[in-house]
Amino acid sequence: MKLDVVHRTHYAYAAPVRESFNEVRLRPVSNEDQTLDSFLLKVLPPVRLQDYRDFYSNYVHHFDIPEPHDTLAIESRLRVTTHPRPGVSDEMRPVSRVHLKSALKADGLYDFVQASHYVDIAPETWRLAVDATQGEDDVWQCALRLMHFVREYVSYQSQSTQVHTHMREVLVHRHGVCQDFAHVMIGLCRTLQIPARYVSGYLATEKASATHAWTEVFVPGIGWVALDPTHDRQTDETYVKIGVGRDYFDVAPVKGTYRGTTEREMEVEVRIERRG
Amino acid sequence: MLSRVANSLYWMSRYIERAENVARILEVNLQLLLDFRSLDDSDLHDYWMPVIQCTGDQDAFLVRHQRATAAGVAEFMVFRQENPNSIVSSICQARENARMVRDQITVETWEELNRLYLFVLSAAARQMWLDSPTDFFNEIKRSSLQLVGLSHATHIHNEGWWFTQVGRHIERADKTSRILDMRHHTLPPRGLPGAATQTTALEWSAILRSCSAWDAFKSIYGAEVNPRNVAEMLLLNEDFPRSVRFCVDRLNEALRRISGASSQRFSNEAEKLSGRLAASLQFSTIEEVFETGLHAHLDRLQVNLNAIGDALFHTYIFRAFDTGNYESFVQQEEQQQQAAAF
Repeated sequence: MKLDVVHRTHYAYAAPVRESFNEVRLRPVSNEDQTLDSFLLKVLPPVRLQDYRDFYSNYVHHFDIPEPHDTLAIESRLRVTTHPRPGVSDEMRPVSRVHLKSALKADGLYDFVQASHYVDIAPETWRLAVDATQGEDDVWQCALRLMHFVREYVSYQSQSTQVHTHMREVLVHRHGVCQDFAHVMIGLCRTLQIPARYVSGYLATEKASATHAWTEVFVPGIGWVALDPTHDRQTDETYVKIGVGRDYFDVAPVKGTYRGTTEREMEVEVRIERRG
Repeated sequence: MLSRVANSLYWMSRYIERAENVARILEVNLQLLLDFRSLDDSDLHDYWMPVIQCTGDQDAFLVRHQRATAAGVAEFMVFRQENPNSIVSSICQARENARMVRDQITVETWEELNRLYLFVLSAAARQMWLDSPTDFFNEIKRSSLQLVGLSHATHIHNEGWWFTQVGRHIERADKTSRILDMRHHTLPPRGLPGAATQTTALEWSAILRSCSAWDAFKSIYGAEVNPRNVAEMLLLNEDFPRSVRFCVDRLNEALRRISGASSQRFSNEAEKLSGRLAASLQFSTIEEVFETGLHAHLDRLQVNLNAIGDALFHTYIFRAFDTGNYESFVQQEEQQQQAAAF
């Protein structure tokens, strides 16, 4: 599927601010499921864009604006081709949970079974996970059960939470948006020692208004498999992946600090179109 | 580095330089007196008043002495502690400042400065003064030059050292300009002066010798001692270490080494003023200076140097608290990731 995405973030400050330092994670990866055809990032006021790959290999652009300015506009335009993917059959039983412990010794998995900024490993969470996966021994099946559980346990209500809502608040109030669904799913998986990570990206629907968040779980023998707890399904060609992290904190689309007034307004606009 | 440390280093070197310069002025003028065989009282008074004005202490002097005689002036400018700019006062102040920052200066510097201090307050100094003022002044000069040499050769050239450079060169520029101004009442207010008389030549030679510039002057101008050449030498010469321009250039450099600003830019008021002054000295001719009047020009120069000193004080030593907007770092608002309505 060929997709064009425009993602605009606009900040308006009540008074000119200065010394603004920002990192943006807006550039999708190229992998076996998608190919990034083109990516363009524009910032106003004009800045010198620099980039690097962070610890999780996400492509990060960063820039700073030392001089006073009262608006900041960040716009990314990209073209990506997503490919059909086989996915993992719902009936598969690839590996038992007893193998998780030895699998965790592999490189790069340790981070994804620990608590992180928005996700903690608490006994209450573990209790929920154990109840949800009662009697299930296979890792993949557990992950699927947890995904269904999240979908039932948490109801989708837009604007019911904020960007900094922690997973434990979501578990108390049982509502949230896809960011919260992903955090809960990740928390449940981690209490069972199933490595789970947060994915930031786009979901190509006509009413897309922001970036989307889902998860990837690690199934020993298979690798990282993407699961979207908000929609209770595996990902398909309508998903564009930007990057991964332990949770939202690692892959926030725009993150930064500045010196000045706290009175500001932010507008976000995302437009996704199919082409060809 | 603490600002009071910078302040003490700056004043230590400034006072040492002041003592040396006052010694130079007095020595040469005392010598010159020997060349004038027939000077009566009023001539003496006219002769010595400019010397006192040179250090700006006219009012303090006139409180104590009705007339300016050699003995009175010398006593006032060398030993009197009521005169804050006398040699003894300057050395005391220098030592006091050095005492406050003993950890910043070397042991050799402190010992030499302390030795000088003990000397000028001793009876031996008084005796030397009575026997031969020249020897006394030479001792002051020698000690000051040793301190300059110690500073250059043994002090680590760090930020504190650059502050001593600032103090030394501001003072030297100021004193040189005052020395140059000593005979201004013999000059026309504007325009180049006429041919030099024998008296004029002697007086202006005295000015040169006050600044140890006699040999350097001869090598450039030959034996043509006249106000124009002397003024050009001491005001605008790029290479002579005691010329005003040289000192302001070094001052400019020292300020930038402290702040790290490049020579093309300024990062504070003091650097702005010193850069401007250096540029005006670099791009002036002595004819232009005499057009506006040497005395007026030197007056303005001294005002500028004072302004640089003030600006330095306000930039580095005494900063008023920043009033008004206390801005802290604010986090950029972050966008929540939400699925499309489905």
